[in-house]
Amino acid sequence: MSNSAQKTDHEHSAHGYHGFSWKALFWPSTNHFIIGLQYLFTGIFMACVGVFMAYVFRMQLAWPGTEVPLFGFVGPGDYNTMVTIHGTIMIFWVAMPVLIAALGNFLIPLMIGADDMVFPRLNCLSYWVFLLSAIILVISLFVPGGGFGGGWTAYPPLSADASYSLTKWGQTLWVLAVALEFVAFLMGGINFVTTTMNARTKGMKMYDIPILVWFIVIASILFMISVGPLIAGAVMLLLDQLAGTAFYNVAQGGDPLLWQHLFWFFGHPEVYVVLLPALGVCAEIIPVFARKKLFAYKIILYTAFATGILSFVVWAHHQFIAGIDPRMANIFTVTTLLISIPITEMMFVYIATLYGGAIDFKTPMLWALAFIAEFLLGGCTGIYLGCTGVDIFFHDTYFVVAHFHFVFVPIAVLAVYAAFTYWFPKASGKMLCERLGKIHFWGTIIPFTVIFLLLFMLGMAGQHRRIADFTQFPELVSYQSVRQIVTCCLLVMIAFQTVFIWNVIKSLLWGKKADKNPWRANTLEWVVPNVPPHGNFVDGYPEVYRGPYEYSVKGREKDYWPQNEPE
Amino acid sequence: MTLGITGFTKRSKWALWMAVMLSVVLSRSVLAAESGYTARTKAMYNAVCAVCHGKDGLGMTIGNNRFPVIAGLPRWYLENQLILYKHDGRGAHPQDKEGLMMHAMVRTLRTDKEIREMAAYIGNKLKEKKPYQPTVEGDIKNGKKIYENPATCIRCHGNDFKGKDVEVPGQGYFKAPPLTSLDDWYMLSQLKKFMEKHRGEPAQTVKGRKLKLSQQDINSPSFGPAQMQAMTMVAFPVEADREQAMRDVVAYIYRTSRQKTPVDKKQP
Amino acid sequence: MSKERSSTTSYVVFAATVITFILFALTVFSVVMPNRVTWMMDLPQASSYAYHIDGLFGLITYLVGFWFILSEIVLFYFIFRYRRKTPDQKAEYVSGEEPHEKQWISLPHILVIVCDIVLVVATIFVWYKVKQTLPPTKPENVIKVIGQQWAWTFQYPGPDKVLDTDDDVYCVDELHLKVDTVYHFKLSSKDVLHCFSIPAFRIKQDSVPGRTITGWFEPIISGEQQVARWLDGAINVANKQLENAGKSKNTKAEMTAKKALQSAKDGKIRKLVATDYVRRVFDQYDTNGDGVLDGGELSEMSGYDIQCAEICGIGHGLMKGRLYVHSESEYNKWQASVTGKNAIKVSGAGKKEAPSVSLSESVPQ
Repeated sequence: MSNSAQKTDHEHSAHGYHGFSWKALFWPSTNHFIIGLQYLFTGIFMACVGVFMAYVFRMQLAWPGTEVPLFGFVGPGDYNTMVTIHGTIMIFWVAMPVLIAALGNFLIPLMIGADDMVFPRLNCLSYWVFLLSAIILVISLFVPGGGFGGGWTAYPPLSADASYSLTKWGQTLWVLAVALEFVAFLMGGINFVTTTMNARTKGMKMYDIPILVWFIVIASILFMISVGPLIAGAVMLLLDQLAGTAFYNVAQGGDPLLWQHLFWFFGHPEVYVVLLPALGVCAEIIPVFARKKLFAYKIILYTAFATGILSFVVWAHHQFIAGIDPRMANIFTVTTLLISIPITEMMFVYIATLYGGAIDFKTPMLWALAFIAEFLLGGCTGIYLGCTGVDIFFHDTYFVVAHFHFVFVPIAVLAVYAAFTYWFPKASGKMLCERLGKIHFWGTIIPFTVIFLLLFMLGMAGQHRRIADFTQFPELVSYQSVRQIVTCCLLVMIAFQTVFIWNVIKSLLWGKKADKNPWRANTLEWVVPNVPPHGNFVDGYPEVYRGPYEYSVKGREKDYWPQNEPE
Repeated sequence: MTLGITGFTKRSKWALWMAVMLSVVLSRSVLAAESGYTARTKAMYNAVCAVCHGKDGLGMTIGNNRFPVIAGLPRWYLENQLILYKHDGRGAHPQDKEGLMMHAMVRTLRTDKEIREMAAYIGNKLKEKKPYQPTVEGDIKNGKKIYENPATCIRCHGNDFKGKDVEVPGQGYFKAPPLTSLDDWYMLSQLKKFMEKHRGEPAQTVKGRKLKLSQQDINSPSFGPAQMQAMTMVAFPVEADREQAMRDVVAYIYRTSRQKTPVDKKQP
Repeated sequence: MSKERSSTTSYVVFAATVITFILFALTVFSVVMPNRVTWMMDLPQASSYAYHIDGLFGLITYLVGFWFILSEIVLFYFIFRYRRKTPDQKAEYVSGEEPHEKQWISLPHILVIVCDIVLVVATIFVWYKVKQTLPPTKPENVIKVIGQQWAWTFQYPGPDKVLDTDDDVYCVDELHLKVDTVYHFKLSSKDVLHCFSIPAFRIKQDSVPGRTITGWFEPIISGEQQVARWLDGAINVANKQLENAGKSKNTKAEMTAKKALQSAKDGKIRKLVATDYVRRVFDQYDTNGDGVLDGGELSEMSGYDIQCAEICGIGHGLMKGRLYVHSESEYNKWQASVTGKNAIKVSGAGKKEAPSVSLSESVPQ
């Protein structure tokens, strides 16, 4: 299509990409591979910060009032800051950059047979704006007054007035960081959508596009449509914080609920923004390791669109008891239960893909299957919260925390590890060690499941969120041992991540050299050499003859049929 | 490591090290025993209290909130007030906005021991003086007249504003905290709270239940805060002038205690 | 599998699923639901609608649980059944685009939608009951609940039974209620968003500054009833222990059991004869550490927590309240102890009200 247009964009600037080098990661680059890696490493660094915060607040919960090693005494303000920034980081600076930006940047050009994104300089800018937002967020922890502690939801009047939050600079820097992150992803999203729609290689029709690419595109569109109201809300919040306006100040005619609506109008599509790429990752991995065509490609695509559209009409299920008109709550409970239907369908479809397969339990497949198993529980517990009657009790309890971790951890951890272990050979040219991978897998899954199953239990006992010391509440004192078990499981889970780090280092340094297509997959990224060179398809653009999931086709000797193979 | 002294055997070197370590550890706890608080108390203060009162205890202004200075208050008074907060003797009135904040925050001190240690830390360690920042204007002469009324302020808080930390029963003297370190706006707001009975209710009447206080000091008839309530009625009898009279007294106390006005001190 | 066989099989499996589901549902509704199971750990169903909310929870668990367990079974069955046994094992080719293949997804779908409809109807019923109705009550049972950083203030009408008069009773962080009485609460906030939450009642409502939000609850278990239940339980345990001691001729055990039995009859519970919940929280409420829960400790234990359920600053986790439900006579005694010369005096300024916004126009006032 626009291959010729792409060829003329190959300018070799002073910062041109001439092959991967570690140094290239620290410098602005217009190459999609480097940008993808930059996003990945920033996301990993922020994940470490977020995990550290989880460690601190869980230690405080398990042994309240004792000094936490590597942190010190956790005061009530510190605790609130930890949970706020933990949530904010994990959603905006871990899940989104790794799943959308890193994967999207790395894989979209490769999977559609292009040599780069169609707006490489915009792409470069998006990363550096993103990095700036991350730096601002980290700085916000060290300013006078400390980091913002009003929850990642930042409801005013608490977040609008330092008199209430006591974090004058922290709250402003928090809003700025989030706003900049939005700007970065708007820029990135433009690239993903435009590149996919315009830069596909010859022969690749709409239904030949891999699901991951589709899902990143849909996620980008969802993000772009939903974020506008929140950016407006964030500007209003900044003005309230700094300029004495009263958008959310009741005494002067404002309304705190305005923020809530603007926030959640974005906040709900946001969860699908991060869910869809994770589902896309599973859609790529499961067919490869089951050697089976993805079941009902079109159904998957249409349910994703349906989910995306429906995601715009469910937002107030976060506000059932927030003071909205109760009649409105009835509308939103209907739409919320409705949106569970396309997702259920998608889960059935993924499970159906396994039927008749010949499943290879390599590490990526383990992660993808675990995603399905754990996400099912997360999704099912969402039904409780979507039903108004029960949400009266469960709102702001640990039931909510357990629910969203049962959806978010599969998204931001399981799917990320699946993607990482699956595409590691392509990105680095080395194979990861399977044994270490499996140890890491089980050492992550088991503690994770135990932690959040126990947290469901605590939520049902009436334990509320964002509270630093539950021994203050007589009804909850007797569950202290449960809290301690949860914290110990978290420590185990963190410990097992060192196995992963060691696996990566070991494999990079001494790992087995990887073939070009070690998993025998169909999609186009396996056509390029490992550690993709400048321009990706240096031997010429591929031509696509079929869809991406033609595995075990009857009558063929090989059990896979790459998209670019003519016969 | 042996400081050039020869003749140490391996075992005696080890013994020397153990002795050094042990003395460090013991001296830390001896230090704690002497000063009444531990390293944990300091960490707790910095994490909990310093958010509003500052690491140096000199208070802070955040937005519309002014948090008062607590540095320079004596240990006994801090302990009494913390216990009062903990047991609903202070900060439990629905209109005492600031008191209700402290009433909640003091729940971080779980045991009486922690209260004692916190009072010891603030009382013994935080002694910095806050710079002179008057915010309350008033007629110093009138203030001086009200303060030096022998039936009210000067009797317990003294002509040098340093208060009394010894109760002398039978002579009408009560324990009273010093006023030399307090913010003027804080003194004004506390006078108003005593006046409105937001502060200083006698033991039994708060929430209609007997307070769970065990401290003899607080249950005695010479319960300071209750006395303060009575005193304000005596010191400011005329309702019309009350607001201005309070300002006058506070302005007088604040400036004189920091030697900012040449006013003669009256002998008791 | 051939097209026809696949199609027929999918209908058969669907029919089997529906039948299993109906049998499952019948069992659940006839055997389990009438037992008023409380799922919420040790939280009693202390208000009149707690049972309905818990019941809805149970309904969701059974419906959603059915699908969850079914899906996981199928998932793990497929993982096991279709694992690679030999290196050159061939997989099937199933596009999922054929109608007989899609049926396997679309038929279960129908049942899922039916379940969703049932849930929607059930939740609207419960929600309507709690949040869109306001059972009538006397003006003396209207309470103001005011949230602020970081305390709850409860304003009761007082002896003249009218709210916002001079004899109103004010309590900080303590709520006293009469059992079997419908209360209306008028919730507001003085500064930021708070949320009035009583887990034992299953009620929760955000308090928004500038608005007065009305809600209701009806306590159905009084503190005395709770204590009586615990004492009865202790007496039963003591009797059983006495019987066992008698059987095994253990005089020492017999003596301790007798002593415990006598204590229980006197209104005290010894740890030895405490039933499950009491034993779990025993040390927590035994404030004088004497191994016996006496009257005062038991009545403290019979209270319920009030939590703030919307982050409101650094003191959010310290903003706890306690709720005590009394019989009418006990309530009158309490009221006498906080009125008259024992009352907290509130100056006129505190009576200014935020504009009242009723919960919904359909709510009868």
